[in-house]
Amino acid sequence: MLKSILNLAWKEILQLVRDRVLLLFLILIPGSLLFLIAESTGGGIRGIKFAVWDQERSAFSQELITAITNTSDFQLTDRAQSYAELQDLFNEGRVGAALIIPPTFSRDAFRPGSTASLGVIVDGSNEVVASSVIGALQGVVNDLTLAQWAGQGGARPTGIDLKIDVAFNPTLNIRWSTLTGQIAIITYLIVLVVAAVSFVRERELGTMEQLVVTPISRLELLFGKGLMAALIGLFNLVVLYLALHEIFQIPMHGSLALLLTLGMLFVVTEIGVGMLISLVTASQQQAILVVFLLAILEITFSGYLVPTENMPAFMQVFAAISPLQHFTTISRAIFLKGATFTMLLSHVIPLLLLATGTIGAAWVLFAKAAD
Amino acid sequence: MDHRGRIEAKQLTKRFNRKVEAVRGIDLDIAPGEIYGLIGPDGAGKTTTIRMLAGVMKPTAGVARVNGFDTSRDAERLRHDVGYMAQRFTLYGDLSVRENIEFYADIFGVRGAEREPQIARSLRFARLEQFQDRAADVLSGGMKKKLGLACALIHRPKVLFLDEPTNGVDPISRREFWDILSELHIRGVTIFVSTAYMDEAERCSRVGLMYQGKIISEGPPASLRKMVQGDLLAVQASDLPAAEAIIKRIDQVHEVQIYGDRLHVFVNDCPECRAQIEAALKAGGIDHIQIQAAIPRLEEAFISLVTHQG
Amino acid sequence: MSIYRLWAILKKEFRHIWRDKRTLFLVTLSPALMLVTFSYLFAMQVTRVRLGVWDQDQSALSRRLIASLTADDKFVVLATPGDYDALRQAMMRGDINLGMVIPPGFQAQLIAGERAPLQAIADGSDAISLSRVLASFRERIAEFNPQVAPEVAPLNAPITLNIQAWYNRDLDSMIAMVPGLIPVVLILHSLAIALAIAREKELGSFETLVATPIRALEYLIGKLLPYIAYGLLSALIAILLALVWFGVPLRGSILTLIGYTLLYLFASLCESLFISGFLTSQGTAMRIILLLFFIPSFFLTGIILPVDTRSFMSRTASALLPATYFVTVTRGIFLKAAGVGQLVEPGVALFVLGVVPFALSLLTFRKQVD
Repeated sequence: MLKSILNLAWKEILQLVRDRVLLLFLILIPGSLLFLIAESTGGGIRGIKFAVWDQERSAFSQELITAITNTSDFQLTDRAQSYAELQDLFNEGRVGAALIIPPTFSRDAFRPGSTASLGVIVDGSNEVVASSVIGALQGVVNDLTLAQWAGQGGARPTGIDLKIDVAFNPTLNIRWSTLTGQIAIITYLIVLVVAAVSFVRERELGTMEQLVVTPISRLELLFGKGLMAALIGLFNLVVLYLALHEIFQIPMHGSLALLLTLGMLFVVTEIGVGMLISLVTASQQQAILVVFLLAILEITFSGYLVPTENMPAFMQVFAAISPLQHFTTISRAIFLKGATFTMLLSHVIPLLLLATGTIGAAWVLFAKAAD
Repeated sequence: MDHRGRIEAKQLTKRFNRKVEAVRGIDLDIAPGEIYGLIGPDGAGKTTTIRMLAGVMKPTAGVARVNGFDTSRDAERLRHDVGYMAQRFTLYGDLSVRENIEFYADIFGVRGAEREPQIARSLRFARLEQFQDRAADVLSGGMKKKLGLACALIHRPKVLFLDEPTNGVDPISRREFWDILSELHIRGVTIFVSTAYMDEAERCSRVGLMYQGKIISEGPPASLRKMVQGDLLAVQASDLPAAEAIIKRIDQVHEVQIYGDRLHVFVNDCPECRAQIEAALKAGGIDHIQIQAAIPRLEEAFISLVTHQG
Repeated sequence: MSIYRLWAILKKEFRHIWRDKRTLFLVTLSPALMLVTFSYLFAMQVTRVRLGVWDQDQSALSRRLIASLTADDKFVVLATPGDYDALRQAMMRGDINLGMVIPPGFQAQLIAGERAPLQAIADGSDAISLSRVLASFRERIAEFNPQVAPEVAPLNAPITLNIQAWYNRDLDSMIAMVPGLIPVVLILHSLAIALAIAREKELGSFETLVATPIRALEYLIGKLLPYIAYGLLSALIAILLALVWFGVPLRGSILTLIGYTLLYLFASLCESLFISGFLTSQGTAMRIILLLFFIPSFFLTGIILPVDTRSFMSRTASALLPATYFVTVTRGIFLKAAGVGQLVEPGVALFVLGVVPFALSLLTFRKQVD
């Protein structure tokens, strides 16, 4: 029995290797995507274009502008002279924020008991950016204020002195978070498609009947196809790990063996899901569209884009049953936090249950469908 | 000279991946109105040859001409005059029989007053009238092939290329299919067909035997049959493998083929061979011996010719 | 080119799509479904912080601090570690994502009018949401500060920010997000067309087409138009959803929006058309579209995170995605009352991003069997 499973898996692998584009894909695309997203999100919120309408044009107003451009969060692209100009800039999407410095700015700022008011306009159509802009500007203004006070020998600030340390990611490199999460997503996609297409493809191309009349048993067929998908999953995990560790220099704090083991558990779950899809769809086209949709939903709930605990309650339920969510958390935890097996139980157990569930269901359905 | 309906090939070659040479420099000259059958085992290069002749695949070397036009350089000029039916089912399963034919009618520019009558004629010709609203993928194998033929003929081409059109089809449908081809032949359509069935080859004007990328023999079916060397004896016995071994050792026997429940033995000019074989078998302890003279058919001829190639 | 032949192909393609009802459903309604899912996800996200507190002071003031932090449900104390190790372990397990250490003498220092240090340790493994967590935390500390030593004059900030959010006065996340998501969810149609082309090649019907007089241009347009039409249908449903369900205001012209939608579909489908020319299997088609178009659209079009405009690589990649330009258009037309005059640049970009791949497809079209 083992022999026929291996035979079948070998045939599948041969078919795969012959499809050269697919091969290229399996190696190139994860890498280039990894790289692309790493590049684009590496800096977080940076270089936001802003305009200034400086109605005072004093040394202090210039100091403020310089302080803002000195942070890498902003870049000054326009100096406006009127409201209308600002409107045009915003309408055309050329700036994300604008600063209006009133003519009595420095006078109000330095006179004790009075407050200078800075006008800030943000592009509300991109709310994420807008909130960060506000936060960043507030930070710059606070720092400037403190510096002024210190320089003038003003009253010593009292109250809580907050010191913040960042654990696991001292340089706050966003890439570390996105890329470690991507191991899960890329593995997910590759394995799922291979598994989902496995049966439908044979049915569509007509080679299914030939397989069924061979002495191979149903179980062997299932395992043979599954084995190939599993091997691809393993290969993929290793490649991604190497890319992360060697090319992107992300330190691995946890155990590689643990990552690969749990990764394979995840792969097995997805093979189950894929096979289920394969058995209920009528054509490859349908199978792929279903995979696409499922992928989008699962990526949404995976915690990759939005942390799970921040989701509305009903979405957290979906997150709990999403294998991708569990593995995304696991891979991030192992890589960046050095988490051990016992620490990850709250994710491993659901994954185990999901794995048995999906493979079991696929087996049952397959026994019926192969008739 | 009017080349209409003529198929020619000179040193036609196709190489895949720089290594595999599927077709190795073949020459063909098929006159208008002929039915030419290309026979050969799987992998001989038949499909590749037909694809190049029909203008759906470019040759690596050599030239193919249909109606006098180069099938590689002037392929588009031939589209209206050539009909092509591929080996596997390549029509649209989710469309009905009629919708498939209508589609190809439109693509080939069959329009105006003649469109409806031509479509009706096509359906009748292919014996598919009652099934015209059925989805193509639920048709039986034979009907699928007939649909393929109907679509290849909708524009009334002068030259028709068919790649194993009756592969896997039941005998009755096969007969019907060839009846249709006969009608076309009477109308003067040049037909180039590849087939694995020897009995179909008998119905062709000329037959070409293809083996490992080359045409090893060509001619009317009758003359090919004659090319078989020697006389043919059909031998039945109780233990065929053993009998084969014994008979092979006899001098004037130059070939033995196992054919189902009997042996086909080819002997060279040997009237006494019959008695010799019988004696040798009896000496070897084999009984239930029956020996008869047989007329070699194309099949034997082919196997014989192929064996002598290798 | 023959209109007659083109019409035959169009009829056939429409029939294929119409006959496969399951796919039809998936392709037409899914964008709307996706829109709802994503919008709720992104817009309704709340910053919830799982706090671990090590209170070394155990004073009335420290307890008041903890109480004020956790007054609503946004901050929750889920662990009270007794040392750094325990804190770290809790973070590794994922029990907490922010640790707070209140040193001994906290209350004493504050009452005396001195600066009292407070240590916070944040989980950097999720760097994306970290800034929100810290911002939230800082805000609460800043609110707590004035309550601490009421006798001492609080630091008066001489500069205040007077903030206006244009186009979206209350900074409603839904209103900001929905128009930006419409381009992303329509990418499904790029997948559908790629699948159809790959499928035809796989099943072999392309071979028979080769033997017909059909021209490359007719074939390509015949594939493109039906999918643009279906894309438009999905888009209209999505737009309707945005207006009716999400209540996003439409300040610009609906006709302009539809016009640009067609342009966007043209661009993204042509890119897909071009890529599918090289694909032989449907599985590959899916993966490439998902990975090369869909996921990058989230990151490179500026919906979630703004594009790092300094990086050449991301600027280039972003510029090649039709979604980037369409996001500017949808946001412009929905929220900024933009008209064609303001949206010339995205319009031209979309046109070019469509025409170039289409022309390339035409040039590289091989009318033969390999």
